Parts: sequence; structure tokens; C-alpha cells
Amino acid sequence: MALHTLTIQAAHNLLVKGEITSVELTRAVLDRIAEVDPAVRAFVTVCEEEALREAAAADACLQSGEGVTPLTGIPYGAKDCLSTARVRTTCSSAILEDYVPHYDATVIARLREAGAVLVGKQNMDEFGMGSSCENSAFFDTHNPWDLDRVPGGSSGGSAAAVAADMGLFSLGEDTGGSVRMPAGFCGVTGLKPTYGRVSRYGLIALASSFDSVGPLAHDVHDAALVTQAIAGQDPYDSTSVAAVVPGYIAGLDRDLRGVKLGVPVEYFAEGIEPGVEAAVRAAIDHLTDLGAEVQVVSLPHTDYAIPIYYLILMAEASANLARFDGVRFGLSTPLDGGDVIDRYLQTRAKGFGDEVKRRIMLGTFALSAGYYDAYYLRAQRVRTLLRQDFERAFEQVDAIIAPVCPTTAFKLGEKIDDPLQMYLSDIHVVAANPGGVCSLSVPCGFSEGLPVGMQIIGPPLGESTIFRIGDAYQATTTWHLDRPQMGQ
Amino acid sequence: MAQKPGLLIDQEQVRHIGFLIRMALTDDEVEMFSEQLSGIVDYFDRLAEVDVTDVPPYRQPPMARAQLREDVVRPSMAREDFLANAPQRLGGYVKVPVVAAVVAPVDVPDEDEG
Repeated sequence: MALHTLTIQAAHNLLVKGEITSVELTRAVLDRIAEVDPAVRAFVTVCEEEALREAAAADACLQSGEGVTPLTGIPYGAKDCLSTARVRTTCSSAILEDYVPHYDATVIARLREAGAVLVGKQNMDEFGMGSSCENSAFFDTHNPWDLDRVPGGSSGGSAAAVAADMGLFSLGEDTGGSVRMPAGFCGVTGLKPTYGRVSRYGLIALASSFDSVGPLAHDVHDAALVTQAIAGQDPYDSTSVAAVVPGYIAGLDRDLRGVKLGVPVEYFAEGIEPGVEAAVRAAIDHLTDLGAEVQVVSLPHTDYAIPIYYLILMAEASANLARFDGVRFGLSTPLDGGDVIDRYLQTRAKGFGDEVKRRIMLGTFALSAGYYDAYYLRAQRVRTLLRQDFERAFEQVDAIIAPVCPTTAFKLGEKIDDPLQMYLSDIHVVAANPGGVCSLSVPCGFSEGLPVGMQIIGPPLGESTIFRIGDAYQATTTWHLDRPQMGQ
Repeated sequence: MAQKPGLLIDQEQVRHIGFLIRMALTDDEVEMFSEQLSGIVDYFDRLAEVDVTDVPPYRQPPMARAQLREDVVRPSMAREDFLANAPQRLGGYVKVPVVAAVVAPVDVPDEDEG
């Protein structure tokens, strides 16, 4: 049996029956990484010894039968912006190349308590800035469906790892599509939860009012299991939401009669690839067959989502990244001579890549005297209108169905020299973050051999609804079962 | 250096921003960023089309957020944990470059003045 290909649910059943051990399962995942990661390059750090030690502890727990959770003994990887005690955490940036946190992010701590086994840290666009994983300071990650193509970004390593069976799930982070877009490009399931539903403590910040930690997995059921383990109020994050976390698995119901779905006209406008549109429209028809009622809705400020999102993100990121100054941690240069200003100037010049520099510069510009009203403040006003679009739509429907991206995965190198074209690839995913909603990305077909993803967008704290719709879809389709041909 | 006319963010502005954000920029970078940032800002300018009269800036929707933690005394981060990531240390301290220097003689007023 190819243990590394199991879903969480299937592996859990075998683990509790004693038919496999977590050490065997973890070993299988580590062997798979050794086999296919030289081609995919999803991992920045693999922690083999620690993983096998954690797996042995999970086996002891499973044997005693005490404190077993659905994630006990399940091997997973985490995006390298999530702090992991004693395991290097780089944000795929030269400035943090040797940084080792001494504490766990809350989400990592919760998975540790649940008995999950961390196998490694995954590559990303530097500090989450990018849509292709090509902005990593270390190396490009490749799409397992076609190694000449990007996995999407910024959680590209996390999506590619699940697609290539290097971990049963990943923990990613979505600031403006960074879970959903790579999930779509790599044919896996990914959730951007509502802002505040999952703690940000220990997440190295990109844009503090957008950042949302979420899972990538083989199916909706597994994504719901992981969300259940990481969601909920955290005394270390004052923006975490106090509302009780509902039972996501108990809420799954495959009968969609009476569920109202909206299809936004603006998301099927010019620029969408015919193969993508055909797959998403077929998925909408399928949901109708399952009993859902479909109607057209309008999100009229969709055209402004990109400037709203990028202006606010750049402003917040320019402030957040001021902490990287070469004094207390991270890269520092020159170490001999020069005054403190010189240290700042050289450290930041050498430590940040071009995209990070562009965004810090534009964020500083948008916040500066004479430009603040026209850019940052105006973006926050139009953001209010964007949120109202969603509020009005959710007065009529339970969820909104849209493509994840207008295209399938593009080629490595295709957009890297044109930053604006790279931003525009986010056109269907960015609105969810400034809009304050949650969104699930599920595989819904192929276009010329490459995966196509569908978004199921829900109202604030509507995770149960979108899990239910996604699970009903996957119960009667097989797109999420297809795996790329890699290795043995 | 040659500069294309009409750029929204000219090279002088790029240099100024570079200093504000404490980031050294080469001449090639200044030229490249001036063109790239201008192109991006040109796209962002579509926000000017939207009528925002009487529209307030976004506020996080009213949702019960976590309460502040109890203010309980607990051990803070251990010195060695903190210093483990410091680029340079001197004994139990973080070593930093010169922060303040005497750039002009200090004028000490006579004691009986004012």
C-alpha cells in the first residue's frame, strides 16, 4: 500500500485499527520527499529526526488509546512563514535564512497537541509576496502536474507537496489568494478561513488585516478536520474571533436541496480561458443536479479588487517589514565598521528580493504625505463598497461560485519580469480578503491536462456552509482523486 | 541617467523613498523601480473613477473578538533564547553599530546664565 497517498481520514482509520503505525506512515512520506522533491522542490527544510520522534510518540498515544484525535500520527508540512520552535523559519527570504524561532505559532502548537507530525517547512514567495513561488530567495517550486509550470503562490510549496503526496496535508497562509490560487493550480483543496477564525500568533506578518492561516488537503473532509483543530479564539491574538467553532464534520450534509448559490457575472468576464470557464460552468450544473438553486449575482466593484488589495497590503507590509533591520535577528551586513544607518541600508538592500523592495516602496509611497488620501485612504473607502457588494449578495444566496483563476498554471518565467501581469493573475482570489469573507478552492476539472479550481465563497464565519457544498460536490465527482504521475 | 518623461514616480522619488525605508539602491535599481512602480501606480489610479462621497473607510465588521488576556506575571523570554538569533553579541548583550556620534562640539552654557 502506498501510505503517502492516503487521505487523513483513511490513514486515521488504519492507525486506530493498528494496521499501520505513524512511524511507517511518516517514513513513507519522508521517502516520498526524498524521491520526488529533488524535481518539485516544495521543501525548504525537512525535519526527519524530529518527525520520526514525534511519530513514535503518536504511536505510543495510539497504543494507549488515550487522547487520540483525528490527526494523531498524521504527517504534514507547514508554509515557512509559520514559526516552529527549534526548526528554521525563513519566509523564503535571505534576511531570515538562518532564523530559528524559540516558540511555535498557535496553529503549529495546536497541531502538535493534536498529535500531528511536522515533516518540514515549505517554500513560498518571499514573505508571501507573489503568485508563482518564483519570488523565493532560494529556488523555484515546480508544479507536479507539469514541472515546467509554476505551482501558484504564495503557498506554492504547500500546494505542490500535497499534490505530489509529500505529506497528507499542508498548513498554508492566504493574504490575497495564497492558499486558494496554488490549490487551484495544483489540483488540491484549500481553505481561506474568515479573518480572525484562525489565530495569527506566530505567523510572520505580511498584511495584518488580511492574513489568514488555512489548510491544503486532498479533499474537503480532510480540510475540515484540520480547520477544526486550528480554529478558535486565541488569547495571544486579540483579533481572533470569540465565536464558538461549529462541528465542521457533523455539519457535512450531502443533500443540497434548498441551498442557494450565486454566480457573479463579473467573474466570467473577458480574459477567462475557455477551458477554465467550461469546467467551472459544468461544476455549477453539477451542483444544480445535487439540488442547489443557482442565480446570477453582481459584485460590481470586482474591477477594483486588485488596486484595493495591493495598496492596503503594500502599506501594511511596509510597516510590518520595518522590523527587519539586522539588529536583533536575521541577516546583518556589514558586521564591521559603518554606523547604524549604514547597517540598515546594506542589510535591507541585500536581504530583500525585488518584489519585497517594490512593495515596501509602494506601501511607503501610498502612506506618504500628499499621496495618502488619493491612494491608501481611497483604497480603504472603496474596500467598504467591495464588502457591501458581498453583503448584498449574501442577502440573496448562501454561497458564491467562481473560478479560482482565469487561467491554468502558467509557465515558469512567463510573468516574473512583469510585476503588474503577475498581480492580475490574482484577479479572482484577492477580493475575499479585503471583503472579509471565507472561501474554499476545490478541483473541478482539467483544461489541456492542467487542473482547474472552483471557489466556493461563503459569508463571514460561513465555513460550515462552504465545507458542506464542497463535500457534496466531491462525494459525486472524482476530480479531487486524480494525482499527477510522479515517481513510483 | 536618462529618464523617460512623464513617469508617475520619478527617479528622485525612488531615491527619496529608498532612504525613508532604509534600503540602499543601485542606479540600475532606481531606473528599474521608477518604471515598474510608475506602471503599477498607473493601474491603481483606476480607483479615482469610483465615487466615494460619504463612503467611510473600511472597518472590521463587528464580531466578538478575543478578550484581553489576564495580566499575569510569567517568565519572559530567556536571555539565551533571545541572543541565539542575534547577528552579533558581546557577552550577554546584542552588539550594535555606533548609533550616536558627536558631530559638533557641544556648547556648554555658563553656569550663571539663565
